[in-house]
Amino acid sequence: MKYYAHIAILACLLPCTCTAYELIGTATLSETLVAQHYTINPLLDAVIVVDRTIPSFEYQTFYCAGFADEDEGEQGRLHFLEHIMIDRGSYEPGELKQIIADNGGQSHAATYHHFTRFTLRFPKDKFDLAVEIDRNIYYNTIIDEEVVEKEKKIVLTERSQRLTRPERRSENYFYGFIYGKKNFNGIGAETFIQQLEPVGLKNYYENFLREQKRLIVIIGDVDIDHVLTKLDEAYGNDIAPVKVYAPQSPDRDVLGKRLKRSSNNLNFTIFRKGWYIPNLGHRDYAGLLIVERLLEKPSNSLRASLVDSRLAKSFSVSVRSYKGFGLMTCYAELPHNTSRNTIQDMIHVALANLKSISDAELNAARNQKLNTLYSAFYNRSSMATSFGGAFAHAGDPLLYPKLIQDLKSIRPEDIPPIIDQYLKDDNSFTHSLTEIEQKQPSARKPRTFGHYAGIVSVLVGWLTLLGGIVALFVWKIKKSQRKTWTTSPAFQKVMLNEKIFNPDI
Amino acid sequence: MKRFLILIFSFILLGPLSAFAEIPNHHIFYRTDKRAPLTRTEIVFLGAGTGADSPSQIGLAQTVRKLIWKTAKKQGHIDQLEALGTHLTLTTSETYQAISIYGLSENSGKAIEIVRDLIYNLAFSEYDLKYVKSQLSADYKNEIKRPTYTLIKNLALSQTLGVTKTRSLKTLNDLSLQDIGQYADRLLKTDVVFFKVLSDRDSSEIANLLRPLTEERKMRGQTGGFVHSLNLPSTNAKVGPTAFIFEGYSHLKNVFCRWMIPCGRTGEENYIPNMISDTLGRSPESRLLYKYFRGELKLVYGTSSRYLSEQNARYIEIYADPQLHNSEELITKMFDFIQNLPDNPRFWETLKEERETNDISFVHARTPQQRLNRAVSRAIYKSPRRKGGSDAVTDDEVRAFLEKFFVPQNMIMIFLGPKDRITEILNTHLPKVDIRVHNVKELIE
Repeated sequence: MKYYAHIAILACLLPCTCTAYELIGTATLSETLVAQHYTINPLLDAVIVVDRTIPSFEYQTFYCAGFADEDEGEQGRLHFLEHIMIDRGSYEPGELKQIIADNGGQSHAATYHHFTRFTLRFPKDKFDLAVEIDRNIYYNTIIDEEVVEKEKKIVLTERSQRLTRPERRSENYFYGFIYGKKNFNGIGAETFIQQLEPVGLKNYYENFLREQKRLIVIIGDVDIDHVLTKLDEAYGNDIAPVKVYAPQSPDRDVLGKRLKRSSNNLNFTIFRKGWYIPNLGHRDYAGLLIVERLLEKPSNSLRASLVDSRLAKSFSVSVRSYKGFGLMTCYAELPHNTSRNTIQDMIHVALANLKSISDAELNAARNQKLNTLYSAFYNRSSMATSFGGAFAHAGDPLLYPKLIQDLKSIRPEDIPPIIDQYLKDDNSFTHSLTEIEQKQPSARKPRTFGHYAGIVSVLVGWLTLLGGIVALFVWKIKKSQRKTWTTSPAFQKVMLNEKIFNPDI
Repeated sequence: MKRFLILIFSFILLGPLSAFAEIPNHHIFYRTDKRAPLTRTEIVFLGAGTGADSPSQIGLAQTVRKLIWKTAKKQGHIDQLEALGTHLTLTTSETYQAISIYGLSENSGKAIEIVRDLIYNLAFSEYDLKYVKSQLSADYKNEIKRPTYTLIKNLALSQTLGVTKTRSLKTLNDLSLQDIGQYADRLLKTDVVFFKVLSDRDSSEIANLLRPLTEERKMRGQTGGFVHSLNLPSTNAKVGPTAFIFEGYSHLKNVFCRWMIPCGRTGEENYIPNMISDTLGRSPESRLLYKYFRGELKLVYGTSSRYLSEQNARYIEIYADPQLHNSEELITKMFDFIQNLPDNPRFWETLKEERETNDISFVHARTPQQRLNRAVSRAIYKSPRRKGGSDAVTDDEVRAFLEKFFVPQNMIMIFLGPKDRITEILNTHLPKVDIRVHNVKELIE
């Protein structure tokens, strides 16, 4: 009986003492760094990497919604909210920044295509404060008239500053085609920003942004148990149901198309060619990273031949993941006299050549990519963003370190099928931003005998006409003089005399 | 061998040299970072930077840098390094020329041998020189097609403080293969070559890896090359108030404003200008420029303050980016803000906060790479250090500094945006400012 009583007491206490978080994966990054992935509640995951190199920590929170997830004509709301949240939370104006500064911290926020990121950076003993601020921003951000009007001025200044850059405009056109949005712009249109009001923004904050899945990434000099305890206290009891938002699918209708726009004040043509590729997590993604490197290495590559021959001012290739899909993009800045078809042809040739890649070439490209991936371990902020991107785009933050293993397993024979499957014209689209063409006066044609004969005939015609007019004029004058004479008394007298003596008149 | 062992042992026992010492030849500045299996090694040729270019040879150090890269590509060194997962980077600063290799630690030894082969087999042809000159010439022309603060600041400082221009198409075109040969010869014989290394490998292993390079240098002799000197030309001049405005930016919707406050010379103590700059705008959190111009007046998106130097000139740079319709208010208020700083109670409040949080906020700048950079910078510039550091600086000293330098006569302004509007604003509100309108082509003439 006593035994059962103990079990009953334990059963009563258990819900109060047990924690909600759960370890769901680990990944070894390097000799000293290990990433641990936890769920804190159904809407919140966390990745923790202990790094004691310096006595501070990076705390980044990712909300899985970005400006590409916003509806056409309503882009810019998330970016606007991001400004308000990091500036204010529920504190008095300026107070949050002051608290962060007083505690030796730093803060930053940014909105990407598919996630919104808030960064806090503090000395190691300020972890509790970081959680408190993060919680405050998540639950209690005040969105009132005062803060909205203030942020409008700042966001409009940011907007006007950015859009003067042609690279930015070209990027917006390019992604507009991918997402099927006519006016793709993460900051939003000026008129849209002007009309934002607190009620709508508050609604968006509560019923859209806060319903997104979140990931908190903590990298630094922290104690894992303490981190988990604090996250559990802050968020462990939040059991809001998960709402599933359909991922943005890229527009397939643009495939095979070559689009062009014109703009003023362009010193060069901006050329972008994109291919849809699988997302992070697919093994081919690592193979495509190898292709990327081979196309843009400093010598014996497409980039080297384009830049060295001055067909392009600059050329780069990128492989990136987005929500539910991936994209490989060639970007070039071309002098106005370089034909875009030439670039297309050179890309075809370069890709065809890569199908006969040697072991040595593959190893070199792999080593370079590993160098790039390892380099991020020196930079907590970029490492955290890689975890956040993998979570927002593919649902698993540990797909980012898994990429290292995938890269190590790629062989030369994997590359030709990857090129054949993804990097073909009917799976690509091209966008160019060129200078507005000035209408030139048509070139003068060389004159023939017929031209000269025509000119002479016209001239003769004109002279004849002129002669006729002059003759007519003279005749008219003479006629008028005659008329004057015939009506004069002298004429009447003569006439009378002539009539009398000349009966023919 | 004996000297080499002494070098290794002194390096292991003593660690990096103190900031006050001259940098000995082949010294290794080293920091360990075990977070990634990577090694970054910089081979620094001290004294071989753009500062050594004579006025008739502006661009010489840059041209040689490009030629070394071209040689590396032509002779296959780039491909060899690529295969090892190593990036080769060449940089030219005012004080040095540096060759940097950054890649997988397991291949560091091989990479260093490749670089040794590269630098001791440099061969430049007339054709290569012609190619590099045309490439640099195209780069210069491209640079001025976009807002290029580096060149614009250089022009403003050359016209007010007499620093040397860093770009000149004329001197670039005049460079001969003989000039290049002489430079390359002096580069290899540079008096002091030192190493800057960040690695997951231990220091003795690094010293061993660098041995092929140091031995080669010893074997070939090291006299008659570049010698490091901080005796840069004097740059003490009356500067202002002067405003530089450029033609060709009428399409901009914002006015990009920079105020430069010259404050002494390189090699002087840095505590006070650093403290003022941090108080005005280190990171955005609550610093004065952000609080006042963005938080309260809502005139800007970005604002910052930095303490910088160019050649022998040091200056504090203040940046702001108002929209065109806010530029009038921003320009006039910033002018007043700067000149009234000594009497601005908010400056002193923020300085107090800055003093209180300086130690804890500095923690973010203590990565191994940042520590390494600071150690090298201190050793090169040998700025005096004060007992007690910035804590020993009094408010009276800060006030005296502000009263001396934060005055209209010491303001150099740069405005990028619609020329006529900016001129109108300055003529209306700041009639004493000397307005100088330039064409961007002058930046590279």
